Amino acid sequence: MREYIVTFHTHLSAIKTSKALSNLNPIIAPVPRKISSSCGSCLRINCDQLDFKKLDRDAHKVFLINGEEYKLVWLGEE
Amino acid sequence: MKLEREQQLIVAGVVLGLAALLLTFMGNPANMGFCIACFLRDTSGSLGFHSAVKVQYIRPEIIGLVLGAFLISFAKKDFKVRGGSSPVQRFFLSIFMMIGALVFLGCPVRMLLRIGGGDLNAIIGLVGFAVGIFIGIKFLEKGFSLKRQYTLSTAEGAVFPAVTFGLLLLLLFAPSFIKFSTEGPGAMHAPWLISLVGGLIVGAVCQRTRFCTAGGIRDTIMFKKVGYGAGLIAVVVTVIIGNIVLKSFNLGFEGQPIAHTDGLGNFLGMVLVGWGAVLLGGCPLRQVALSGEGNVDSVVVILGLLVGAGIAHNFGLASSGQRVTTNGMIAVAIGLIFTLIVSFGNLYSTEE
Repeated sequence: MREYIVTFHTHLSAIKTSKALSNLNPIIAPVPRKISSSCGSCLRINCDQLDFKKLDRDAHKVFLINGEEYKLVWLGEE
Repeated sequence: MKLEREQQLIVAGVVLGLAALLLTFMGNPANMGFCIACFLRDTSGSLGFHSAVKVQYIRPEIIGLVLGAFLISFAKKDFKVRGGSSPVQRFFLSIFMMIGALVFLGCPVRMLLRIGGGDLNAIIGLVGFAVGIFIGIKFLEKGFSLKRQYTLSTAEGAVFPAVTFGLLLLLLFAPSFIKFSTEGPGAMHAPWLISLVGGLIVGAVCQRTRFCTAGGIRDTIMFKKVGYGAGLIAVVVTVIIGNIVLKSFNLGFEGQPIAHTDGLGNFLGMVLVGWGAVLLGGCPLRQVALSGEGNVDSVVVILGLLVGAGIAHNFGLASSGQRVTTNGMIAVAIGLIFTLIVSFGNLYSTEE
């Protein structure tokens, strides 16, 4: 089981992705400060392999959490 | 040492509270060690955008906040230029946010400082602020969005810190076209260097911790974690203790410095500020910090606040220490209607 954090350009995009991935029980939470200086929302998702195609178009970044480290594994449109 | 989010916010709140106490002790008006609305209003007046002679001064705290956030974000590689998220709506929301703040007589930071000084009118303001935030959250949950930001050029993000530095030069060289109050709140200020350094420190701390008066309440409600509001409580507790030590704590509604006792004005003014802050993604203090780290949508908000201050004084909307004005209450009503229209006008389906 892997632990992902997905960041978004808008809170709306976080809500939409949360609904699209509802089977994975994503938790909506504030973006960790280490990842971003912005104060938006992110999704915390636990699953074996996240299907990036199911992310909303305004999804920004996906990080894989490994202990204290956040590894960027997917980058949307800047 | 690694601090948890709540601990970082508490540190930020204590730093802000101590800086406010020091600046007031050194000459700033009572319960106004920091006030983004008041200080932008004073700056607006100093540039001649309004002619209320008692509130004209280029506040070095604002310059420090912007440059403090700019320098620390640059050093820590947080300086990222982005913008383009509904600038016109942001501009006008900000104008009304400033009008709401000047009817109440203070931004949310001063609201906390006023509570810390024992001003119970500010408790009514806090209730209004929380109600406004709650309404804003309801629209966020229903699908409100001002649409995404895009990456922009470094030059775009450098303009505002550069202009802010220019303001510092105008303050120091004081050419004759710059207006400085000789009496009233605008004439009360700490020595400029202390104000500037206070701003630099608080700006840097706010940038690092993402301290936001609206965000603290918003996240407490949205994510049901009381700890996210810890920064606000830290400001109030610090200032209460400081005021008791300095013998300037005065509990009550009547006779509070630069404050009136109109409950409806205090309440509705801050509903407008809280609601606007959630739609804009941050309180005025947070917007100033963001404006320094390359967020040009926040620069638009600052410009809106400056223009809003001009309108508030030119049209007689701002309250005095004695009373709210009829024009001010009409403007707050128009602002609430405008904010409601923007809230409904930017709703999108939350389904894929």
